[in-house]
Amino acid sequence: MADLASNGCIKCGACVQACPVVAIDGLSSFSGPRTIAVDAVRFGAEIDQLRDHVMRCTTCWRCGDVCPARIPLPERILEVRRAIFNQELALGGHSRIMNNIDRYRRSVEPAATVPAAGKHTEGQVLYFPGCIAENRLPAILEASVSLLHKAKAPFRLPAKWSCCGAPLEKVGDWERVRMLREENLRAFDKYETLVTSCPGCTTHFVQNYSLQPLHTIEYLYEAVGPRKLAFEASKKKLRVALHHPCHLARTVGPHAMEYAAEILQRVPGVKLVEMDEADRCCGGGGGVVAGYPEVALSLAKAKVRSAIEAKADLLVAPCPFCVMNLSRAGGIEIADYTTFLNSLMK
Amino acid sequence: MRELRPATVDVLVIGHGASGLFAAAALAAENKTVAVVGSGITATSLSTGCVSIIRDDIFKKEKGRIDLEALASSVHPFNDIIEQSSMTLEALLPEMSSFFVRSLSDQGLEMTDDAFNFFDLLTNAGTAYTCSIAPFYTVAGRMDAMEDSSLALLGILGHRDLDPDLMVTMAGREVGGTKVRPYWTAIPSLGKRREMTALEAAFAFSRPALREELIEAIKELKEPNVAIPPIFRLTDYQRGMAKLCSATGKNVFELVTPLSLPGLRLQEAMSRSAGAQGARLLRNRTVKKLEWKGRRVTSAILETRTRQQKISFNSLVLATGDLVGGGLMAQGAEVRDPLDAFKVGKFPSDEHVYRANSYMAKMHDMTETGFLVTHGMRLLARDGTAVDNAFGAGAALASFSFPTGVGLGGSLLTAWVAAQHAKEVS
Repeated sequence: MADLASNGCIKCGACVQACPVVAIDGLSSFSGPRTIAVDAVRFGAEIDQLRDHVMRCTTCWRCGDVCPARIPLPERILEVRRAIFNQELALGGHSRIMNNIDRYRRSVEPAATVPAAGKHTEGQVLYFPGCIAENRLPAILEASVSLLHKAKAPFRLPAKWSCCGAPLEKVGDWERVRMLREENLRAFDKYETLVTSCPGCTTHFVQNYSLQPLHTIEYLYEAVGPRKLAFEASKKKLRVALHHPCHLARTVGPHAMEYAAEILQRVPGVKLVEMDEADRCCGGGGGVVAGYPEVALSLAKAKVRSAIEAKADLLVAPCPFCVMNLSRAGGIEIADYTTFLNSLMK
Repeated sequence: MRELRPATVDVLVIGHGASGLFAAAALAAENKTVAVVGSGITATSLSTGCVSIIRDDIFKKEKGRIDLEALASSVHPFNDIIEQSSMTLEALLPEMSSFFVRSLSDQGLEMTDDAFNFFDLLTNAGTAYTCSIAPFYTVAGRMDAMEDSSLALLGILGHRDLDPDLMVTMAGREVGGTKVRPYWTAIPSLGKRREMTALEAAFAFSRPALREELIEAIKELKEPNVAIPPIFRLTDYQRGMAKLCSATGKNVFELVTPLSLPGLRLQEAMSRSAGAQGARLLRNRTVKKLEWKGRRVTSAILETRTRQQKISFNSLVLATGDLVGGGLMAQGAEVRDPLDAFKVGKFPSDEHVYRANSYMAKMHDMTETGFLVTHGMRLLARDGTAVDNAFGAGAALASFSFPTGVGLGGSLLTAWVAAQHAKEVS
């Protein structure tokens, strides 16, 4: 790991301050980005002793954003995880993901019934559903299809597809990441635009496939145009808090959240309320739900508390992983962005 | 990389630290459409959250008054800025600081200011600190209002920002006639955490139960003045500190702490203030390319991790910060593309007061180097001629770097003046 040494670290502590897991879990459980990505590498820490720390990282990318020395901390953390994986130190929860991939080519167990693609088998826009929307939260898949239809998008679903590989990258299993990449690239025949409803898939397609996908929100804003979206007249007034999913707000890009907010503001009856630290991780990413569910739950509860403090009626998240994890916390109604938007669109 | 819809604004500000946000707020308040682009943590976030208006070489030795004459005759760029803005410092400073204080107070960070004087503050390392604009609950001078000026230093077990024993060892048990006593308190609801970051503490203390336990701990102290480490984020700050004072009947104040909540609070309040004035904040984007038309910069290509966007403008304010902000690269003279289109240099005076104090020539060079400006705060192109519509602000300017002791006030002043000029050409 010596070649990963980050000599640029100026010890400002900004990454430790910014880390949501440190804030929730305490430095004694999770020693923070600097210790893992800089010090451990520099001082040759034993990999197996790092495991319980490094696997608590939700890969929210906040540390990478704040580092004034521009050390790619999240990427380093993923490198450390790769080294851990290679030493066969994977966590139990993570082994389940790999088993699912080997058996079903999905990161989760397939649902008994999967929403059918219906007549959407032709079109230049290829909509990639992702594992969670297909098998855990099928309402997202149904809503995405309905939304694209209402927006008059010429779309279809791929006849065959595999998990994009993002969860495996987070776990450190880069062998399977490569395998899935090749399978998908073969399966995606000709299309003009690739659209995804999961920010994890979007990011992974950009960074590991060199594709140029659009998240549903980006597609609605960029290709359709926010003014062309027609909404039902208001039924009742709703105070909505908008969660900023890490992989949408930080890795796909902050513009996506600006688009998301602008579109919501056009919906009659919806009032967007400002929530404290809207961009703090909900705990749903980085394989933490599978590895350390209690950490993921604390983060989700904190997020819900922020929404309740903002007097929101509803907490909306444009990411299936976030929706799934936030729903575990209870206390407020959680909605997926696409599903919510679809329910309000003409 | 996929391109997003292009955008157009009157003014683009590059840099989202104090200077950039302040210039943006000032411009937006004048009804200009403004976008601020920035990435990474800012030097402002790592600062003490207090503002020193001016270097101490122009801060008169006999107690705290700024020597305006010395200031006006002091080396570039202060005198230049003042000359070029056809304003006097007496007019500029109060105007600037009043806009600053007003806009932050609107965002929940009540600041106390005295543009031409200094407040006494106490740092968590036990040193005295003076500055001209500070958060109200940081001003140690409030102790003077109490009959008994004795001071309790209250450390919270696990909170890394205040070690009262260490502080007393450093500063002594009596500071300027004030008796100081160290105390520790364990907050039961914090649990068995060994060590906390300030944000972790802030997160914990947003719960009423912990505040009640802290109030009980403060009540038990016999001193009427109590200094605590920072525990509140911006959203809780005013209410939280006011509650600690009213519930305990004591003068509770916060120590000046760098690399902690005070800087983050200032950053957040300034972001909110720029946003409230109508500036658009384009966070986590970097500037990939600047496009030119003759002597004018016309647009910039911005980049996120996965997307690009073109943004066109009438004028540009460059507030990229220095070494700490990452705007200029280490080694001082190297500037990152595309900012290398502008002339960078050192301010050409060997008589600069700080040369004598600089303990390290290299460090000195690094912090002295920055963008050069000419009349009207206009930046120079690499050939030395002035650019028509680009203005410099803050620590990115030669000799305005914080480590040379100019302070955040100098940055704000240049940003204020740059905004006035940028307004005219947009």
